[in-house]
Amino acid sequence: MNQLKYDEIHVGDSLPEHSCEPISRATLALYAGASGDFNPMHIDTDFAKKNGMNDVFAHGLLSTAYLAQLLTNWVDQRQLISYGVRFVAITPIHATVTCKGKVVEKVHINGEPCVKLDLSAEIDDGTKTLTGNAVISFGQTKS
Amino acid sequence: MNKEIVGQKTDPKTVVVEAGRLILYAEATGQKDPVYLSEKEARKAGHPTLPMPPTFMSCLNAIAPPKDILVLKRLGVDISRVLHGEEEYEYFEQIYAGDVLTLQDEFTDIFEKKGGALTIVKWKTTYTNEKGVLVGQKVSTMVIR
Repeated sequence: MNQLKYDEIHVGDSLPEHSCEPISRATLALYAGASGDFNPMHIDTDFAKKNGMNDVFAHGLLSTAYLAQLLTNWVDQRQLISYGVRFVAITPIHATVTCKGKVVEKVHINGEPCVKLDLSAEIDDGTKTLTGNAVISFGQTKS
Repeated sequence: MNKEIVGQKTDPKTVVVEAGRLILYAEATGQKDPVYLSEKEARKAGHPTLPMPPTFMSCLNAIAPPKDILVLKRLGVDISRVLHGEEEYEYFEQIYAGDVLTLQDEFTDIFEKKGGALTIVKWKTTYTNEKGVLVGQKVSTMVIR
């Protein structure tokens, strides 16, 4: 992992983008098993159709995991203070999710140098599926 | 809409953060960072063992028995009517494989939107380790159609 220095980070800086593989039905089945989220809207096409959808769609928390990887690819997870997402659109089956982040503020919180980030995830046609934010500490890391 | 649920807490439930489950989750989420896939690589990066990824906190709620979906059970809502609205995490200490966590849920808000067409429910989960240390917290928002 590259050791980023606080002084070298500037408001407006973009994080290196992070993309996932296209989401397949197998991805959703595997994610359901791993996460414990067995909501049939994500894994059972018959159930999804019966409930007004054209097909199954991805778990929102799968994209949340991809977006968190953008953060842990950038800094050590122990520097993460908070992370929040809002689900703004459904992620359809076969979509590729691209995760983006930008430094919006440098601020001291409880005496620790921190950066605030604006985050988003979008799919192939540019539709935003998640918006989010995170606070990263560049002071003492957690044990 | 059932305003009375605000402030209601569930019985605490306890779950072990299992290493095998973390690796399965890393694979399922396309994780390429070896820190999350191999205990050896995690140690090389200065971790005592496999770190729990930031979003696995949400999974603990589903994995910890009893495996019911709190919001649905308390409100008597069908799963096909529920959409995830927001998920907000706070991290106080790094959580690792082998940690035994106690989860406590509390409903914090319920309100209507779009003239009652949607009901918004929020609840908070606290995660406390076996030493009694609050290691993390999460607020979930669900939208009921």
